[in-house]
Amino acid sequence: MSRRNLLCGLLLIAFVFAGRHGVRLDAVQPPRTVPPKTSSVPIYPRSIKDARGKSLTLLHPPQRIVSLTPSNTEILFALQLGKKVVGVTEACDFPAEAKQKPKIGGFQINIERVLVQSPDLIVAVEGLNARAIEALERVKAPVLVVSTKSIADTLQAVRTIGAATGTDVIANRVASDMQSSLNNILKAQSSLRWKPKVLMLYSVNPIYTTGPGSYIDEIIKIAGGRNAVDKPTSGDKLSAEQVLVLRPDVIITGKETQPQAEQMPGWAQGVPAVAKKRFFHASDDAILVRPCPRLPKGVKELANYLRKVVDSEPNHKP
Amino acid sequence: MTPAPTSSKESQSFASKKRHPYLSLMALVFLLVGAVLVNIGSGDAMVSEKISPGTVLQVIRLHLPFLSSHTPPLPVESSADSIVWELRAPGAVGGVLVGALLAMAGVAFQSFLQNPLADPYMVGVSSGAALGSVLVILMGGTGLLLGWAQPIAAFATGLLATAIVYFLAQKQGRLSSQTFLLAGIVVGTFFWSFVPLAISLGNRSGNLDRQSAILSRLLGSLQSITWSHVVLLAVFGGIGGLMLWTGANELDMMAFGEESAAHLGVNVEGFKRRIILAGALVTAAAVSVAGIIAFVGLVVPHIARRIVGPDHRVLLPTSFLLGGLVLTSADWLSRVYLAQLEVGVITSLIGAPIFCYLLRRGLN
Repeated sequence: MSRRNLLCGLLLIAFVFAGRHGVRLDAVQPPRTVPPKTSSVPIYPRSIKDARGKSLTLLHPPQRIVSLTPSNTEILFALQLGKKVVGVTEACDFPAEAKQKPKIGGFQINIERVLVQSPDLIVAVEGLNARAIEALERVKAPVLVVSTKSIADTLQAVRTIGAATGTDVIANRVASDMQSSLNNILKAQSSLRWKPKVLMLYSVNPIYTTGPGSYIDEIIKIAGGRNAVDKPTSGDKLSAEQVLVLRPDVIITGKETQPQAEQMPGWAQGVPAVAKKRFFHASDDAILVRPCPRLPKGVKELANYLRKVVDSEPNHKP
Repeated sequence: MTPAPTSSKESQSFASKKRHPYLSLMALVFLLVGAVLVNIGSGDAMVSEKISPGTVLQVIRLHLPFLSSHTPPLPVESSADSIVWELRAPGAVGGVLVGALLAMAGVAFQSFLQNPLADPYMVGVSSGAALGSVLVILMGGTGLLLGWAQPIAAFATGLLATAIVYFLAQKQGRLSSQTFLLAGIVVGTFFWSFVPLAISLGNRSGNLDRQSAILSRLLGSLQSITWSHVVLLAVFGGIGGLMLWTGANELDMMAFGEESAAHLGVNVEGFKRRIILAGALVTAAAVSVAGIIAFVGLVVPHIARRIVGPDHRVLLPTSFLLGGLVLTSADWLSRVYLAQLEVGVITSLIGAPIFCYLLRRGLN
């Protein structure tokens, strides 16, 4: 019995997290346009150091690229490499052209499908793709691993992918654009009179959130808020009681999770965010949680939302 | 692609009327070889578009000692060699060994405990091994010891659980079957309860990949089997399997009860220790490589008994072949049609109805 319950639980958790990546496309945004690169001709062969400190030597500019995550797909398209992408995941929904590419798996990567494309570059994310990386490196496939654990990592990921594909110039521009947009938001939001407490709510039963030092934690800070979870919690889980103690002013969650949160006993009375129906949904669920060039757009939306919250309570005492 | 190797059913009706054990064994060998070839030869629609059975055959010939020099080489940019020889072949061969060993251990445990419900997981191996695997995955240690950390930890904790069961169940050098089964269940449950505990305390919500790695260990999967895993299976499976097979006569005598076996000259206590050790070795090897694959160790022995009867000299090899056939067929279904669903789920899906059918037949 307990075994079956556990498996159900695990499956549920797996789907919840799969859901963070499997998202709909609500707002269609034109692909980022960057002026074409002019001067420098990339020199090959070149050796690229990836996020694990491992070197990958490329003899030619990659012509057949497979992406193992939605974020890498977006980075590749932002670097104008869309035509060279020959494999993406089921969850890769941006830009629209990405959806037409051959699928190499969803939650689980299908190694055979990756290899059958004869890729000369496979772009993976540390941790998220650990099993696929292990399997692909066993057969000596050219895997480039990037990290997306923080915003700095994400900027580095853009630059690393740019270096591997010979699009260094565009990559540097994309990364510095992201950096300066985020800096601008941070600067603008420092004028907020008080910092709303923001809770990231991935799921309600069990309540999964994210603590200090995480990627979402950074985003909340840049957008002018503070993470309601200011101390790491065991397994990134919270109890319903702890949420009542934390009293978040705003909850970031998916549209399906909001009604469940509203029905939690006591939350409608004791949690300001629920009492005042302050649930933040980004225009596209992906842009806040997907470490990709569209990230500043999501942060900007959250920043605007937090500003409205602050303005609606002129007498708030922190 | 040719239709699925329809595993046991044909051979069952074919042989259950008149028992020709060696004919059944031959038929099973052919079926098994066919199933393995079909399994290696086919991929899901997108892959088989580019890698035809002909290409697969070419790859296999390139790896065979005498044929390779007469085979045209593959195009340089083709990934067929990696797909066929590094992914499919070890998975298929390892899968056969896992299924075969589990089924064999199932026969031995059912016979010497004289309990039709016994299976290789009853002695705590599976829960112990699951705990070892989950701990290594949660601590992010899958890359340690040249990538061997997880199977080694699973193997060790699996054997540890069995050792605890054994020492709980024996008293002054004597082992009671009833106590052994009870102790197995209790220790198994105890070890199992650490699995959700470890997951609950040790898992970070962001780590999607660990979730799926844990799931594949708990549900059983052949996806990550490499040639070195096949070697591990062959070595420990070989030792344990030989220990079981050479005990076939004693297993026959144990069927008449321990006392009769003792009268017939069997050193009952020593023999039990040997079977427990062999069964635990074999099962721990299978579980550490493939996770907990359900039902093969329970149902296949019953089907095998229907085909060839209770003589262990024939029953053990029949179970061995049939277990391999069942698991490789389930793996084939999973890979080609079910988006790599964990193979343990498929064996349960197929195994439970077959078991119900056998139960009804037994009642009539």
